Amino acid sequence: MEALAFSYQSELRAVEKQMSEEMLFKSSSLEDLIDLSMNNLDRYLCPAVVLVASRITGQIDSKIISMASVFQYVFLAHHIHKLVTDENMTERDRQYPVLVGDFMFGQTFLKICKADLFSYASEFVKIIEIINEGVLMRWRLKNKEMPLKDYKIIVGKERASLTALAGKLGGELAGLQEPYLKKIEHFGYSIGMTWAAWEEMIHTSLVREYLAEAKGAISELEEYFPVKPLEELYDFLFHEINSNAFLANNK
Amino acid sequence: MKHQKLFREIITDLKIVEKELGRFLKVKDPILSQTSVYLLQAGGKRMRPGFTLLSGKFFDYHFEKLLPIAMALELIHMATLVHDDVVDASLTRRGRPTLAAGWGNTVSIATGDYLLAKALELIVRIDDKEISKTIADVSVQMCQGEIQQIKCSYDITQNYKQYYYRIQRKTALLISLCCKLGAMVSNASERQIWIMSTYGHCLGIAFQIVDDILDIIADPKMLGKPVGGDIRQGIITLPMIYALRDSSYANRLKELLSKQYKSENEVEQVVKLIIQSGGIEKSRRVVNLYLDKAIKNLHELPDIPSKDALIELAQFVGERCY
Repeated sequence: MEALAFSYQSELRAVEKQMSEEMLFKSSSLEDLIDLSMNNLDRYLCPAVVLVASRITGQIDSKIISMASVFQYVFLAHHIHKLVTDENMTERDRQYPVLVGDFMFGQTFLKICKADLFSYASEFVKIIEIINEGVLMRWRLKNKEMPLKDYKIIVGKERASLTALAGKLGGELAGLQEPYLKKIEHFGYSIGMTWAAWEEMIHTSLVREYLAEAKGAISELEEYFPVKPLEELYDFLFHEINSNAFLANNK
Repeated sequence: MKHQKLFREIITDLKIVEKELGRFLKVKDPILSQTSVYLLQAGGKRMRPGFTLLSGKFFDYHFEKLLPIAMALELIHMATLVHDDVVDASLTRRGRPTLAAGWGNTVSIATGDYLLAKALELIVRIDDKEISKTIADVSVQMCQGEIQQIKCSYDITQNYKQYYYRIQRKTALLISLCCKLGAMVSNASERQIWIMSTYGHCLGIAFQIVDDILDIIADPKMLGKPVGGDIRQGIITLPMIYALRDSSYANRLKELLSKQYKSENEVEQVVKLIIQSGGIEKSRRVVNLYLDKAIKNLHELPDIPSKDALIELAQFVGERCY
C-alpha cells in the first residue's frame, strides 16, 4: 500500500483497520487459518470504488467507510469460498475456507446492521445471489471452451456486478443522483471487468476494452465533478496490471 | 415420527412454513433449482421453525409476522448443514447422499451461500434492525464456534469449558435465537424473552451433547449417516472428554484419538473404550441437567398446550435416537 498515492489513502487505511478489528477468531488471525494470497487489487479495489464514488461529490464520512468495509467483506467471502474446489483437497485446505467465508458473510450482514446501512441490505442480498449465479454458470461450463459472450456474463456476475454496486452505493451515500449514478456504476462495472479479465487472462481483449470503458466513464463525469479520485483509481488499476507487463504502452 | 407429534399444536402453520420455503426457493438457475428442491425433499425435523412458532404461542401470536423469521432461521440452518458437509466431507445425511457427494464442493458452497442470501432477504423484509442485528450476530458467532472446532480437532487436552464454548456457538445459539425471536416478535416482555431464550439455550446444549453421544452409539440406519464421524475427524466431544479423564482408558484413548488417520478397527476400539469408561452415561447426566433446567425455566409461563409441547420436546431431545 505504501507504493500507492491515493488522495483517500487514510480512508482506505481506516477500512483496513476497521476490518482487522472485526475479524476475531479466538486467538487466531485470518492468516493463521487460510493461505490467502491477495494482490493489491484484491486488497483495495472494492473499498476504493466505494470511496472514490463518494469522494467526487463530497467528504467521506464514517458511514461510507463502513460501506467500503461491507463491500470488502462480500468480496472476501466469495474470494475465500473460491478456494474450495471440486479437486481432492487436504482437510485443512477445505475446512477453513468454508467457515471463514461464511464468517465474512456474517460480518457483512452484521456490519450492515451496526453501521445503519440497513436500507441497502436488499442490494447486498441481490448481489450475493448474482455472484453465486456466476459461480454456477462457470461450473456448468467447466471443461468446455468458454466463448467470450458467456465469459463476459460470468465475470460480470462474479465480479463486475459487485464493483458496479460499490460505485452506485458509494455515490448514493454521498448524495450523487441520476444520471451521474448510472455513470459511476458503469465506471465500477468497467473496473471490475478489467480486474477479473486481467486476473484470469482467458480473454485478454476484455482488459483493454473495459479499461477504455472506465476511462470513458471518467470523461463523462469530468464536466460535472472533480474526477481526480477516479483517475487515481484508474491509474492504480493500470499500474497493477502493467506491473504484470501485460499492457505496456497501452495506456 | 415422534417429533412431528410434538408440533401438533402448530402443525398447520408448520406445513405452511414448508410450503412457503418451497415457493421461496424457486429459482431460474437450473442447478440452484435442483439443489434447493433436493435439500427440501430431504426433510429434516424443522425443529427451528417449530421452536419459533411454539414460543410465539405464549404471547401475541401472529403467524404472518413469525413466518419470515421461521423460514429465515430454517434456511440459515440448512445452509450451515450444506457447508458442514463440505467441511466434514460427509457422503450421507438423513440417509441420502449429501450435496457435496452428488454435486461436489463448488455447487455445495454456492448453494449454501444462496440459502444464506435468501435468509437475509427474508430478514430484510421483516424490517426490524434489532432482530436483524441479533440474527447477524448469532451467525458470526456460529462461524466462530465452527472454526474453533476445527482449530482444536485432535487436541485431547480439551476440557469441558472449551467443549461448551464450541457447542454453544455451533448449536445452542441458533435454537436459543429461534425461541427468543418467537417471543420478541409476539410482543413478549424482556423477562419472557429471556425465559424463552434460556429454554432454547439449555435445550440446544442438550441437543448437541445428544448428537455427540449418537455419533458414538446410534444405529447408523436410524441416524442416516455412519457413526464415528467425530472420532475420525478428531472432534473431541463430551463422552470422549469424560473417557479421557478415566485413567484406566486414558492412555489408549489418547493414543487413538490423536491419530489423524484411524482404521475402522481403531474407530471401533475408541467407541468401545468410551462406552466402557462410562463416558456415555456421564454425558447423559449432563444432558438431563440441561433439560431439567430448560423445563424448570418454563414454570413462569402460562399452562397452555405449547408449554406441554416444549416440555415434551425437551424430553424428546433426551430420548431421541436419530
